[in-house]
Amino acid sequence: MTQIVLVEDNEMNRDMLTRRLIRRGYTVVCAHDGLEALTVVAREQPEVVLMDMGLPVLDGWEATRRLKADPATAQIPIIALTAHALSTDRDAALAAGCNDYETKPIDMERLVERIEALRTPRA
Amino acid sequence: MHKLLERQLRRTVGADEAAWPPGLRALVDLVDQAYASHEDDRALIERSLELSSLELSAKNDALARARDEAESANRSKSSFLANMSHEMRTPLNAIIGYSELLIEEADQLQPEEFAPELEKIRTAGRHLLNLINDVLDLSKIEAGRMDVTIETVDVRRCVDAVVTLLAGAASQRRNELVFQCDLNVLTVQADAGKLRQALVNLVGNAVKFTQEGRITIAARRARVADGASAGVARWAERDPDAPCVAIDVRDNGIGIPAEVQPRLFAPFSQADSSTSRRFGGTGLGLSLSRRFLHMMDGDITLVSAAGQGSTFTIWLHESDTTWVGGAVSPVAAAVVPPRSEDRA
Repeated sequence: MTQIVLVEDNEMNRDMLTRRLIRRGYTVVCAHDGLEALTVVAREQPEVVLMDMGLPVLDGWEATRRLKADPATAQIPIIALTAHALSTDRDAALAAGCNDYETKPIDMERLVERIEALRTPRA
Repeated sequence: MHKLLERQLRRTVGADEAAWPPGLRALVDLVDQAYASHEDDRALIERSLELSSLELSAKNDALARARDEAESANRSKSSFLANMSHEMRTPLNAIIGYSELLIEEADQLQPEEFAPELEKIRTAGRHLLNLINDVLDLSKIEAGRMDVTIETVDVRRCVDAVVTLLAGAASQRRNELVFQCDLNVLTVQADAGKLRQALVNLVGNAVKFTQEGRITIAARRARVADGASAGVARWAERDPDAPCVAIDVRDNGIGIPAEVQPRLFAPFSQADSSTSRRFGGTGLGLSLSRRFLHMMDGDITLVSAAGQGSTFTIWLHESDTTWVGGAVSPVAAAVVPPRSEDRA
């Protein structure tokens, strides 16, 4: 079963992060934009969502709001991944409903800690 | 006579002026004069107070304006810095991420399997270098330390060099890249290096935002009045009949929606925030290109609509040498060789 849904529109970032997560033993499914994220997260019911914020079609903030408003996905923790690094950007991500926030360039060890702190393994 | 003085005189010495002691009339006149001159002084002082209060409020207004300007400059510096931070973090994410990935996977990878990831790291590194170069150029312009050397530049040779440089990128996206110019000799007053940089940027953008399409660079002779009516604000007061040159860079790509056109030439204002990721670019190219053209007393204008392609036009003063019957020895046209680095 899927542990992580990674929502990322940049092919390089998606490829790189997916490979590094898989190496650490996670199962990963990707979505390419905010709208696709809604369907994929609802279908996969992952333990945690990694959400880029500057996404096409539907941006990460709006996708997060919709996931958190839907009872079927509201309890799934979301970690924002973004190159916007100001404290106001962090506040905006948390205000949209993200449970945590990690800036790019990604510090892999810290990201794994955040994932482990939030994920709720299902039997 | 002053009212209060008159009342007191009537009460103490009597209403009949003829019965007043000798000399009292003269004294009363003196007192009256003193009152009158005091009154004049008071009016003067009041007027001067009024003036200085006007002056003060004018100064206050000027100060408030200066404060507003400083605050707005400060805000735009802050947002520029926030954008810079974002734009630098994006390629750094690829550089650091792929390096760490290669280190993690090093023991399982064959030597040839390193190449694709190294290529990504190199691309991101180059992008970062372009970004830094653009930011340095922009800060040089803002500090007034960017020099331009205006000379006679041969448009054909300049455009040819740009077409040669970008032909590969154009054919990769299956775009046709065409240069049209009906005139044998067409020269402009420009800084050759900066004109070339602006052209590389415009043609590079056209290539990026067009797929399986056609990009046409068309140079033509025009009048200053044409430029002014196309939107070259700095030419509004100039001699409308003076000769100028328009270089159109036309594509039939995705076009630019009307609502984003006004801020298109501001730094980091790519029409869509996800645009830079999909199409690359530092977000400073158009801003820099227009600043360069302003330094040559020219401009860049834009005609576009979403889905209908874009035409960016470079406007420059024509060089006098071509005005002699249009047949001037090419020797008169000094062309600086193309610069080696590419800063699209």
